Amino acid sequence: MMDLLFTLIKGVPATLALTGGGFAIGAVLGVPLVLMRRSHNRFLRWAARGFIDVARGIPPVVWLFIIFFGLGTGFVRLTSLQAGIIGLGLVSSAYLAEIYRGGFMALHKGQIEAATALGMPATDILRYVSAPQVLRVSIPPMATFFVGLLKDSTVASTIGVRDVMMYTSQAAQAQSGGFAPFLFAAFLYILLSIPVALFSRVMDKKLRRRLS
Amino acid sequence: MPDTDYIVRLKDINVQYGTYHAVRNVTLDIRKGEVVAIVGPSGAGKSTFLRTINMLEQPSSGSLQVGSFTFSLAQTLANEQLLQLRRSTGMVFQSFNLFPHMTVRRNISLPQMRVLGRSQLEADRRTMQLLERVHLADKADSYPARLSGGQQQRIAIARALAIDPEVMLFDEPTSALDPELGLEVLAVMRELAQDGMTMIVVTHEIAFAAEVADRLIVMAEGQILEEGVPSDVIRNPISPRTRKFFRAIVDRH
Repeated sequence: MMDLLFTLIKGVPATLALTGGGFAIGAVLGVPLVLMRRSHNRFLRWAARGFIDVARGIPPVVWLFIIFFGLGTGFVRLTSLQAGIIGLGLVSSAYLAEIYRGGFMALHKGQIEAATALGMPATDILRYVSAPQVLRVSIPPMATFFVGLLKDSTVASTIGVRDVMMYTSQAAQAQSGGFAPFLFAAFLYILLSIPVALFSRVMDKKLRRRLS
Repeated sequence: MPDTDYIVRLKDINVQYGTYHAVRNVTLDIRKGEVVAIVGPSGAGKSTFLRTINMLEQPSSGSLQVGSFTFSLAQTLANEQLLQLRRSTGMVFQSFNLFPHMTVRRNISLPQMRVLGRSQLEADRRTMQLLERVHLADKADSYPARLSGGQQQRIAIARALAIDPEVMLFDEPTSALDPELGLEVLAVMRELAQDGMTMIVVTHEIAFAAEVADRLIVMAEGQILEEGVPSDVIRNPISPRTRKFFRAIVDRH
C-alpha cells in the first residue's frame, strides 16, 4: 500500500508545476487583459473580450491538444509539461482577468475621484489606489480558482505529462481494476489544496478588517 | 492676463448630459480668502457645478480661471493642464473617500510625495502639522475604518490641504454625518475660513452658511437664483423659489 502512495507522489512535482506555473502566467497576463478590457480604446476592449471569450469557451483539454500537437510540433518544440503550463496559463489569464474585473467593479467610485481631485496621475491612481484594493477583494475568488486549477491540471495527463493523474491511471491499469489508486489520488489532491484554502482564509480575515 | 483680484473665475459654465441641462450659464467670481456657500434644493446642479471647478465634471462650454491658470472649456484640456488645475484645488466629498488600505499618515503623505515630489520626511512632517490642525494627531497610525465619520472627514480635509491648494471645494461635507459629528467638521471648516482659506461650500447647513460665509448663493434648476450677503439673502429673498426653499428649512426647525 505504501508503495502505491510513493508511486503517486512521484507525480506531485509535475502537478505543482502545472498548477503553480499556469496560475502564475494567468495572474500576470490577467493584468494587461483586465486593463485592456476596461480601456477607453474600443479596439483594445474588443480584443480583450474576444480573447477572454475564446480562452474560456474552449475546454482546457482541447487547448492542450491544440498547443501540444499543433503549436508544439510545428513552430517550436515543446515538452508536454511546457505545453501543459502554457495551456493552463492561457485559460487562467482569462478567468483571472474576469476576477480582477469584478474587483474593479467593487471599487467605490469615490476612491478614483478623490485621487483624481488630488491631482494624482492615472498611473499613480492605478498603482497606489485601485490595484491594492482590487487585489485584496480578488484574493478569495483567486484561491477558489487555484483549487479548481489544481483539479483541472489532471487533463495534462492526456498529453503525457507525468503528473499525479498519470501515475494514478498507470497504477490502476497495472492492478487491472481496483480503485485503491484513485482513493490515494483523491487523498493527495485534497492534501495539496488544504494549504491554499487555509492561506485564503487567513488573508481574507486579515484584509477584511481594513476594507469595509 | 489673469485677474489677480479673483482666485476663481467661472464664466458661462454649462453642463449637459444628453438633453438634460444640469448647469445653465453659471458665472461666478471668487476673491482670495472669500468663503462662498452654495445652497438650494436637490437636483439644483450645485454639486455638478462645484465639480466643474476641478473638472471632475466636464462642462460643455464656458471658461475657467483658477489661480494663475486660465482654461477654455470648449476644447478638451491636455492631461498636464488637468493635473495642474487639480493641484491648485482641494476637494472634500460627502463620502470622505479616504483610502481604506492606508494608514491616516499615508493617506495624507502619499499625495504630497506623488503630486508635489516631497520626500517621505518632508511629507510626514507636513502631515503631522495638518493632523494637529484638525485635532487628530493621535490617529496618524490608525486605519480609516477605525475612525468615526467626523474624524474621517476631518482627515479628508487635512489630505486635501496637504497639496497646498489655492481654493478648497466642499461637496456637502456634513450630509453623511449625524448632527454631532457634523459639528466637529464644521468647527474645523470655521477655523480654516478664519485662517484665510478661499472656500466654496455646497451645503444644506444654512446656519453655518449664515455664520461663516461671506456670500450665499442660491441655486435651482441649474441656475443661480440669488446671491449676496447671507443674512440679507436669508431674510429678504427676492425670488419666490428662494422664499419657498428657505421656508421649508425654517419650518423644519
